[in-house]
Amino acid sequence: MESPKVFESEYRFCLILWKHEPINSTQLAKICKEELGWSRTTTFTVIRRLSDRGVVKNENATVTSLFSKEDIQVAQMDEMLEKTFEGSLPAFVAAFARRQKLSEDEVKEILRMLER
Amino acid sequence: MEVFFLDLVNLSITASWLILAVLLMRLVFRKAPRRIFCILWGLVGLRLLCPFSLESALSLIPSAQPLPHEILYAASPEIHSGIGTVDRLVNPILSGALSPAPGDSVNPAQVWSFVLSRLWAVGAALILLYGIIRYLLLKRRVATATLLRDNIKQSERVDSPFVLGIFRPTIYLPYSLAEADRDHVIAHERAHIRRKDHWWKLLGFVLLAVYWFHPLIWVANGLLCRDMELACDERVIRGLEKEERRAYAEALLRCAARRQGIAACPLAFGEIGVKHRIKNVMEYQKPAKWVTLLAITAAAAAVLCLMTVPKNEYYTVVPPVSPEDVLIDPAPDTSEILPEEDSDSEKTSSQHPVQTVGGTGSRHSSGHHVDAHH
Repeated sequence: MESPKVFESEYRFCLILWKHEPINSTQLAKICKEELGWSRTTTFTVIRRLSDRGVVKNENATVTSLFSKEDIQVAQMDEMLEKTFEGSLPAFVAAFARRQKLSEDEVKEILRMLER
Repeated sequence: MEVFFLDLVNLSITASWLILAVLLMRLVFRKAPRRIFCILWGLVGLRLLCPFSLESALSLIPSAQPLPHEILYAASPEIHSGIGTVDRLVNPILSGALSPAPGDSVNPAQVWSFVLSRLWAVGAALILLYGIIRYLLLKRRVATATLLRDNIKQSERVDSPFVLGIFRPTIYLPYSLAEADRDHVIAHERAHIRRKDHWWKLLGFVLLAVYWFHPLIWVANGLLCRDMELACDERVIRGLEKEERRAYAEALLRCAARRQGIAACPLAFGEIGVKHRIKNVMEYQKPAKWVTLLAITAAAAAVLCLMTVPKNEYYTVVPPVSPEDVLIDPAPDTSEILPEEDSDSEKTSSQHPVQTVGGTGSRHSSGHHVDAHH
């Protein structure tokens, strides 16, 4: 299954989940209150919404994630590619290279890796 | 409720003069610090809130009660606008349209005032409801906003930065706000909170709901919002160097460009009159002392002359009419319109316990109570 898209605020929630999972939903709500400033209702609503979308699982008040951090990061990157680089991976890499000051060889190597 | 509505209309007419004066001052004293205009709008708000007024010989208001209570039940309803020309123009029309015809069981003016006052109440209730719903929807929209620090949150559902909340004001920023812009935006929103703008906005909205029938109120509210934004801008850039001011203006521009459609949020950063604000920021100079002084003097004059009402001249001119005369009598006596001495020859009892001569007060006729001008 393709990694589902998550909104930025949901992504930050997932970061907390990945750090503490598996975790009781009430405890999770408490952590979210501290780190995100979310009310309990909001946390439970988000848990419900994400489990409906199949991103997390909530069984017997224990919440676990169904996708790893890397999966979601790829999905986020796909979206950014679409939005900012019109889906062109080379364009993204070129922009990335400009910032990171990769050498031409490194860039070529990475492109070769991606085409595989 | 008809009387209450009548008083409301009277109050709004009295306040109109003040609003017009403030509009004029905004044009004349364009260079004065915006803070002063906000104070002026506060005075307008005060005027609209207080049902009672101080009397003063300095008052420039033509009349404290342009629509006297008698208009509801007089045989020939008329207004006392304090301006001779207006009175002469309007009163004949009113008498023609609102005078009760013989055989009418109810005064047309009463019908009108009933309908209009109920209409007003419905309108006010609708506007208040709309405001409440919009606030609740917005609150729900930013429920998943994540904490940045202190009372600042970020959300992907926020297009333009704003402040929300009355008792615990929170600043909401979009995630996509550039780091460079963030500090400027936060400084601006913090200025709003420090100046208690979230309270003033609420008051402005309530007054808008109450006086929704008065076009000048809408103008005043719109200009109040603009002045609040400009005043916050001024407060932030007061201590900034030219370069930092440019950065602030750029932040303003970027936030305005990002906004899609009309943001339904209070105190949004990039919303109101962006071009004017950028111009203001770039051209900002500490206002000359004399301009400020002049503006303050003008404001004080406005308070004295336009927030007070003239001494009670009209209250002494009371046509000796009572509601019963018009309501019950199918054929009203013309003797009512004539001065007191002759009007004794009407219904009920031949003994009138109290006969007032030309002044204020009520006329008692065998136990009936008449509520006249006080």
